[in-house]
Amino acid sequence: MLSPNQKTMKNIRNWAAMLLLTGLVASCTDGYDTVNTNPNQPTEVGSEALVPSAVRSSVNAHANMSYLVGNNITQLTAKTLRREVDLYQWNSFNNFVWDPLYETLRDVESLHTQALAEGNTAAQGVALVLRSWVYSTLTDAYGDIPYTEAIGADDDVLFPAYDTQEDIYLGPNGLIATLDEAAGLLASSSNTLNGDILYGGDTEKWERLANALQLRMWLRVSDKVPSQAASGLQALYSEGRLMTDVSDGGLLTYLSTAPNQFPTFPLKIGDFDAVNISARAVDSLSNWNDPRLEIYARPANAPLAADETPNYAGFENGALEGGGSRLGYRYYNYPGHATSQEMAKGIIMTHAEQEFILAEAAQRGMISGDAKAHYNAGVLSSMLQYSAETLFPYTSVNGETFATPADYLAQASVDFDSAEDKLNRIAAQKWVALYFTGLEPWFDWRRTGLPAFEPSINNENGDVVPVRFRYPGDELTLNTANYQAAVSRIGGDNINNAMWLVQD
Amino acid sequence: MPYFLKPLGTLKVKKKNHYMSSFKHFFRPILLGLGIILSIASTNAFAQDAELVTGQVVDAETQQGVLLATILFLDGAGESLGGQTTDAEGFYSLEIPETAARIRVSAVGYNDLFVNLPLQDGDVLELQAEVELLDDLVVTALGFKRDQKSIGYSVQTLDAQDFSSAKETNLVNSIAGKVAGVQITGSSNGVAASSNITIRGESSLTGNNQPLFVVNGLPITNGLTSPGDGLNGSSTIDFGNAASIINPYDIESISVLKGPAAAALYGTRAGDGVVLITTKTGQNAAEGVSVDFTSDLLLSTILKTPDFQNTFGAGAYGRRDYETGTQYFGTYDAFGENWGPRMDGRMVRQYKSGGPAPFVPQEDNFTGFFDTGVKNTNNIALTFNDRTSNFRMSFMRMDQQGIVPNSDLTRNSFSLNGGTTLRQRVRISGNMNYIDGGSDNVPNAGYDESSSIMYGWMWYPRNLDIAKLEDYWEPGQEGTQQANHESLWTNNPYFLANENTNSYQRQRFIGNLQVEFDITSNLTARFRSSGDINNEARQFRRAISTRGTSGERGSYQEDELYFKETNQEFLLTYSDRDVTKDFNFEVSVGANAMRQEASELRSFADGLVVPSLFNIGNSLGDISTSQYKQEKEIQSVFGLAEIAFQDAIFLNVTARNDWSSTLPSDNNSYFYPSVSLTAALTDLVDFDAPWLSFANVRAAYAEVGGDTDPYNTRNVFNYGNVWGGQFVATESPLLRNPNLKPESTTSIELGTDLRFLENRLRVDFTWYDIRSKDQIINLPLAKTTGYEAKLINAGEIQNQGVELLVSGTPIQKQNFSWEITANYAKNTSEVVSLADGIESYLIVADMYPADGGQDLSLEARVGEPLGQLIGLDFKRVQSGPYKGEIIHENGLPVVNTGEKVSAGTYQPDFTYGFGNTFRWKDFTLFVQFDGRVGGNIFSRTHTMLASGGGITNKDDERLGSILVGRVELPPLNYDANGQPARDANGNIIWGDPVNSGSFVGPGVMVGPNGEFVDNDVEVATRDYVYRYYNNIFNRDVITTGTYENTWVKLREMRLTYGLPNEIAESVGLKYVNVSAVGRNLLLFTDVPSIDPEAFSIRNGRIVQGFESTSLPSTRSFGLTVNFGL
Repeated sequence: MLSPNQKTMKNIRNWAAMLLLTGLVASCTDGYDTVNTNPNQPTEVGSEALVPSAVRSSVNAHANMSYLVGNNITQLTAKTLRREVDLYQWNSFNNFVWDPLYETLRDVESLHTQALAEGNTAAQGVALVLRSWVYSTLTDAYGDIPYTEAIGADDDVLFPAYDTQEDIYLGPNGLIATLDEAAGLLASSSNTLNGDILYGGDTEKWERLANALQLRMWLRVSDKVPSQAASGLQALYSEGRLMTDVSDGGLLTYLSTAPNQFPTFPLKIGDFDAVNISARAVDSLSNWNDPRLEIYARPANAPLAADETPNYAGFENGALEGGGSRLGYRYYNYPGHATSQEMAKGIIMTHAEQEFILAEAAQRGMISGDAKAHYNAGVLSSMLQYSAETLFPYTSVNGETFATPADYLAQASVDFDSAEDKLNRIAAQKWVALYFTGLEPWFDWRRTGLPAFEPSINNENGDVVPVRFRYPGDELTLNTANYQAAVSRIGGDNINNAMWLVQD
Repeated sequence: MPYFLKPLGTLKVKKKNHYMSSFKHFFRPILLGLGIILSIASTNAFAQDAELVTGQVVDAETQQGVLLATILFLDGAGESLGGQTTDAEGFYSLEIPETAARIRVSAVGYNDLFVNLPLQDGDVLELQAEVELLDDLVVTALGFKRDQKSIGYSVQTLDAQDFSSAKETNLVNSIAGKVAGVQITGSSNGVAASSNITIRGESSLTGNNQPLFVVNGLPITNGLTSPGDGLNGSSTIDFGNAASIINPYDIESISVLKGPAAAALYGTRAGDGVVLITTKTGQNAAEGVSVDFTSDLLLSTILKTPDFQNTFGAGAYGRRDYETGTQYFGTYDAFGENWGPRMDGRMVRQYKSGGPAPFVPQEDNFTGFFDTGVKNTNNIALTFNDRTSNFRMSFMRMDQQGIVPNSDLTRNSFSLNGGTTLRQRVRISGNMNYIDGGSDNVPNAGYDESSSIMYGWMWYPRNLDIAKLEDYWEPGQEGTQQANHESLWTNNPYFLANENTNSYQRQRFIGNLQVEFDITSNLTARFRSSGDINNEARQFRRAISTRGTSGERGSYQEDELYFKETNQEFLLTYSDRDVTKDFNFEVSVGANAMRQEASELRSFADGLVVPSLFNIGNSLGDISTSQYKQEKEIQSVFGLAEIAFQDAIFLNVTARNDWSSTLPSDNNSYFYPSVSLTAALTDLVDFDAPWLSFANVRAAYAEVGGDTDPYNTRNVFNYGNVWGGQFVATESPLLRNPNLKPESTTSIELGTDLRFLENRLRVDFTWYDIRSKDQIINLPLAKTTGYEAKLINAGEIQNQGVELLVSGTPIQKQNFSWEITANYAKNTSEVVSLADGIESYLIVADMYPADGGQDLSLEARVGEPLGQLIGLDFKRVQSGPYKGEIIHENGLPVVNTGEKVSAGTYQPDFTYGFGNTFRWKDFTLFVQFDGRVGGNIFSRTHTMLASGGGITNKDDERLGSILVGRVELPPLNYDANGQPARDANGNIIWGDPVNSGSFVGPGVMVGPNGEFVDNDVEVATRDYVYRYYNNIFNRDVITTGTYENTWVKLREMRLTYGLPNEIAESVGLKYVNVSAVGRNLLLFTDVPSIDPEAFSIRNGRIVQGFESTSLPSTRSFGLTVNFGL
């Protein structure tokens, strides 16, 4: 039995033990930094890990937007289901260009930061090429966008301001200046470029791509700043550091297995079938006896019986029903159906497009070159891109036989010299060549109005083809003040509002 | 013998004998034993210097002697000097030690009596019987058992009898409707389904509002053990939440500690309350050995079926053709919707009809697909008890087959617990549970065509004879090509059920070991070590030709999950119950070290080389593997004190400090206190009101701190899918934050417990206010910042509410009684603030990720209740007589795409439960209703079914039936083959248009002068419904598919017959009970198509307010037999 005094002593001892325990706990937490060190993911990676993510995510995003919008809006293809794109109900799908592209810019900026840290000017050049290309799609699709302040949350810029389109293109840190810088870095770099899934580390090809993209952008602004554009084009043309053939093109060769396949491969049949070749494309291509019809689409009577001739049917954009030919073999494997030896490529910019740009620039007198030569080179390059060696000789769906590409070019409907409106002829061939090239066919049509086409039937936009996307709702809720400033500057956020590029 | 197995008719007696009472009784068995031993040992020692006093201990009311009362001698400091017991008539003969100052007289069923010495010969000591209702002993934090009246916050305890027969597979569901302020949402997500439980509303923006479950002192988190969404973002494959695995037959009681005040001692994870589960032990069983056996058989059938229509069949715009099921257009060959011609018997070629066949409805194709669920459970328990040691072991086996064909669940549960007392001062006890369970197929209840049965049922034609799909392989292509009625969209449901399975195997071990040591009679040390280990494997099989897999090449995924938590707890308790009669106290201090480890290994084979060989090696594409490991530690010190004044006023104080490994090292310590005060007024004041039996008031204030998940302080790179041999990385779009600080929740609550008319009526009322501040949230960022979110401390959520519990016994006769318990709870939550400049926060950004459009989301909005259902609405008239009406253009409602609106919160206005127990002789009938009023739910099932044209839609009062006036375009004529008649050129010969009217949407349109007039433009019904419910395929309109989530369920009916003991004993059994039970028998609601008691699972969390193509809910009924040997 304890006396009260002993009890007190005992209590004191107990409390002392508790204090000791507290001290013990405090010292046990010393190891917490180790406990809380992430064992799963790196906090730093080299540029060789970031080049492929930046290339893949940006190219995938563009392939998807071709499939969903770019090809449909200019009626290369048509939506058979979920026809909002073709009906110009563009209010609800405004974020599938915006979101993936700004997401891919995070990869691009990571690459840029890491390249600077490594002192790798080749990787830095690649980051700048991708940055300009991705932002050009964004500004072309929306108009004014966050540019200089974008991708800054890691530096606590949580509400990026919108830059004007003019500054984005032509400003000192604008798209064209950035590409110029990139080309310079790539030309002079002695660094090794690892992880390059596009060109296998060939910095010269990257430089040529940077210059070709500059051509595209100068042409884009050629109506706004004609003399500046002309001298920009001429300088690049004179310098001659441009793509020389198909292999120089910005074409991503996908792998044969998921998840590195062309983005339409993983789709459900029903979803893939939601896009068919369009009536307009079938008309043009069959009118030209064009071998690319069999590339772009597969016969409506597939799989063919042995004695059957392939039969191509186009779906009219906006139509409620019909029966169109599905897209070509290289865009999807149907179980049990014939497959293509080659999978479709992801396109940044093709050599063919460069040649059509030069053809137009020459035709308009902005550069010194020969328009016809570039036109022919463009057509040829586009076919070569789809293995013209195996296309020729061929018999067209109209039963005409072509031994060589020259035979194709000699047709009245294709021949440059016989064209009354040469710019229109260039545009028509360019339009077909821009199949699956992001939103490029739409941007090009918007600039020139060529080749002209009728708005889709049943459209809900007053028979007007939209010229921009609305900003996504996220900007309204998460970047409100800057969004509102931009909207009031451009005079309202709607799909028919002309942005700076196409304002008179 | 566990008392729950006794015939219910004798429970009242048992409860009284059940030796648990107010807190001071906690130590009594020990003291009793100690006293007896000491008194025997000291008889001689005291014999010479002690005088002998004799007398009797009697019941104060009856004046009858009290059997075996214990008399304990106490010195001036209250230390025990040993004791003696009375004889069978209550007579005592005491040798009182000289140093004794007082005696304490105690006996089972009576309040303790303290008497100052000396005693006179012949003194009669009167013991007051404990009032039965007042001996509500509740288990509170750290396992302390407290008298309900001493607790300053709201706790509600359920005894085993409250969920005694026909156990729910998921234990949590058994609590539904029984506890005020506790909202349980079951789901119909299949056999292993989780249950959502929230206590006093939800306070967390990050979505985890699950209370902490504590089993015999061992904390187990009730999080979903589903870290992801399965294979695509729209799956809801529910493998069950953690608490679902506890064997319900082992449970002795469940205490629900509501709010932070009750739970402060459990730390961080207890901010949303604690569910304390105590399992049965041998300690309270009758001496000797007993064996109890229980067997359940439960059948389940569909409770609610959508109101399918039987008028129109497959096709579109009144047209239907069937050739191969491979063409979307043509004449709607593979058009998987019910917008085709009338099913009037016209001769149309159909799937597997081989030629023309009558186009007629298959009214039972939905119900015909589902099976009757069967669940069989057997439990055997062996219990042993003597005076020093006890143990109990049990084994449970459960076999369940769900209503979805080929879905099942099995569970084997072993438990063993025991305790022994060594040398009167050391008590060692331990318990372990091992649960081995799994399923060959857990159905997917999401909008995921690759394995969700219900995905298909949104669209399957009403004329489809489901039996024709039972042979689910194409003849000649067995194992490689499924057979289905169309080949573009859906999968064959039998194919899904049998081939595309989601299976799992789970082994879980929960156990603890506890040593208690009485240093002195006042000072006790306790050490407890506990562990919780979960090992789980999951397999997701997708056979070749499955639509919804990449290239339809099938796939296989295998996940391995591991989780371990250990706790080491030390507790030192000083208890002085005898300072004076007016003042007692008890102080405890303790420390705990918690450590968690978790890992997940996930491998995915994209495409299968050899069909139906489900192995990661059999991958067509690159095998993708991901791994996640995590560690976490929290170390804590804590203390608590209870001070009792006159056994009527109780002050409880707690304090705890945690150090969490997840927070930045300079900010990882946080302290939180609580204080509560309660006063039993009737013990303090004589109210002179005989109708008032008991009155108590209570008040509590508490804080609880919180931490975050591991690795949230440094930004990382995510692995991208490898490109060939090339390593790919991408910076995480979620920005971590090195400057995080602890979260904080504070609460205030006030309550009262009033009992009237000799305890025949009881009212317990609580008001509370809970504020959660500095929550660690993912602040959403505009995509233009390059990131999706940044972790920050922000926001304040307030929950305020009342809870009311009323129980009464309107009739109490010898052979008949009727007891009622009713509970009511109302909680209002408000988002007081979010981060600076942020008015709304996306709790779930995209509810249905497979959809396009502007997404439906669950958001917190400042000034609104937490959890707003957000999406688009239609353009509506702003003022005037048409105010609120939908504006139409060309007959179609116009979606307002410029603004996302709220369709209200999912939080109910109030919830209630109402239980009745009738006893007549040996029969007991229990009937319970519960329900909720208010709050909203978005019904994905209804909007999709409506779009697919498969239902009458009569149950949606806003739009009404979509059967009348369906427009039919020029219909088809069918030829002798049942195919569209064609002319010589192969062109279809259209029939004359059938003018059967068309749909005119309710609402307005702009009239010729710009004013609003009633809409009178007819459109095709399909076009209207598609726009109205789902904004075509954007599926981003929220308002039309959201309904007030008010319902009442007849939750439980149970009729129990306890065989009279004589009869049971005559066949050698101690008792026999037979029960007939039914659960979820009736549902009353205006929500169309679905059972609104539903939720979705997104990103490993339960999301309320959004239903997601769930499986039909079930009613179940069956028989339970239990008996004891």
